[in-house]
Amino acid sequence: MTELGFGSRLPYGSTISPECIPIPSSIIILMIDSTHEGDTYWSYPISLTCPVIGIMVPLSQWREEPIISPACGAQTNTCDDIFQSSILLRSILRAPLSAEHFQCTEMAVTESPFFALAATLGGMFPRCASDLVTISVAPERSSLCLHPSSGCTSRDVRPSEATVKYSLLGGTSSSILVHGFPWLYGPPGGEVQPWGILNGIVESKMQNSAGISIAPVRIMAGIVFKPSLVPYHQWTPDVYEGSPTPVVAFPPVTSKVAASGLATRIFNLLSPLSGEWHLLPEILAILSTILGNLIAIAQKSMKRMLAYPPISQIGYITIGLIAGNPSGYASMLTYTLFHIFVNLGALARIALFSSRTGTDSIRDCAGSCGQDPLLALRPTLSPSPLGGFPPLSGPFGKPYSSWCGRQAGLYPLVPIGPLTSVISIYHHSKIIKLLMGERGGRKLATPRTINKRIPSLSSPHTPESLIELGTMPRVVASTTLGLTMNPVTTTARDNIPNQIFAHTATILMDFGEMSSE
Amino acid sequence: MTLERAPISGAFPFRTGIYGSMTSRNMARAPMRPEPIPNAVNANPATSGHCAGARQMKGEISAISIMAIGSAEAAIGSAIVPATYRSARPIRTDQSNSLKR
Repeated sequence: MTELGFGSRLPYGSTISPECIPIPSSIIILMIDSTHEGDTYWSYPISLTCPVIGIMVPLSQWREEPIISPACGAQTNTCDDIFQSSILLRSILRAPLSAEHFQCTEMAVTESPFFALAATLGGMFPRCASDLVTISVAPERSSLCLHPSSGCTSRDVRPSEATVKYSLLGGTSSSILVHGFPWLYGPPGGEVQPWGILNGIVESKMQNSAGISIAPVRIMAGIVFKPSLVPYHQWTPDVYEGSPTPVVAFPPVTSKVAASGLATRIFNLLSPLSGEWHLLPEILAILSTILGNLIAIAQKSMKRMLAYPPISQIGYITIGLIAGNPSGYASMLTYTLFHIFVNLGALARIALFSSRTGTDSIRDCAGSCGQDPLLALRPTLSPSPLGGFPPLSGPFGKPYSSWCGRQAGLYPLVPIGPLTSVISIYHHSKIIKLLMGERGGRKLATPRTINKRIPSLSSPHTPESLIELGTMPRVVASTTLGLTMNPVTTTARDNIPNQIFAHTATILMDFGEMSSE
Repeated sequence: MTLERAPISGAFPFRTGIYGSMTSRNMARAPMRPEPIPNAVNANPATSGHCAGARQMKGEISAISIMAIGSAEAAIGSAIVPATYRSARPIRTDQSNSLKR
């Protein structure tokens, strides 16, 4: 392992070098805003440049061995770097969406990019969380920034209500999560390092005690709120429906990605403690994939309907997490990447569509293909990538996670993927039919454009807004990422460190010896 | 106090916080109701570590991190309440029905 001595002063090459970029950027944004009178649009270039630089740092530090910082015990490896890069990518893709919203609504410009940058920074910390205290406070760092970001962008009633619900539910679930960790601290004799905890529990022969059994249940009950697994998904549709469309995608998707990265560490810690710990996440994954697709059928609002496919997608991601082998983690990383592009793309296209129709209702969009075929094509393409049509990303991501589940012996989870794909294809086909064929919808308004056109290099249709410009890479990624899945999964699988599994195997052997005595 | 009895000191504030967050109907009081839960979180490792004979005071030190998180959450709740009050008339949670299912 690459170890850093105390004499190392340079941040580059250390465990926290990627985090050293958003911190000064957010300070600069605050300083510019506090010293500048009126609105300043410097927040956008800074909040875009910072994640672009930040994503280059882990890519330039790509290596085979993990880096350990002896000063704080933080340990990172390339698997964590991939998760962190997902968070930064998320932040990059978010940036063009909200610029025009603030021009139109005349709300304060700095708040949203600052919260987004702070949430990105918070989401990057779980990757170097290697002891109990850091793992317990890591999810809070991003969640606390995401709570106000969903409601700071509008003076309407609905964003405020969504924010109140999100923050209340989020605060309570985080408290339950954090309350589960101290149960693992006391019995081993005051240990915070994972291996110290497991060794201490084995030595004190407390692996079957009630306190050690309560801890995983509490921790799981708290952590599954963040990726909105059923039945803790109630906040997601409210946030999707309540928040303005250009800003709505950031809180839920960032919360899911950050929670997935943290959950790998938590489940590695908990897996030796209880042989039956798989049961609870399996049940939650099954409920999420099925109910996420079924409840979407009954929705009348386009934005609320779009909240449910991510809930089902997080069920597929959880299958890879429960599998617990390198292929499972690779499927988790790959599907997370698809999830980011598809969901952001879907919301960007719905934002364009809603700005022309003036409504979120699905029924009011009937027959819009006759008025503007290109506009109607956008929401058609938006949910389909993960629905199951090749060469889109769905038919490559879902079978891979189902295959990982079969490989790990999780047979109840394997048929869930194809069944729910059928439901989602049916439901998306209904929307496409409504857009293309039926009548009774609203008349489309003329497109609102900003005064300055975005120069395009070579395309027949000049993008008239930043949202359109930002949608283009998402369209390309979400429709063609399925074809490039093999190099992505190979890279992810080859870079998952074996130390995680070797050490866990040692502890499992100790547990087996103790229980057989 | 033995290790088996140590988490009881954290159980009471935890129970109070859960009950308060479930039954709160006033939107101004609702962010304050779950605040006893971080208190329970702080009490648990401090007493468990002491009873288990921990050599270092890592549980007590971790309480500082938990307090930082709890105070940030309280600050955000305090900021959300006036913003909500300006835009939304009803201050009761059971009258907030603008986001329909």
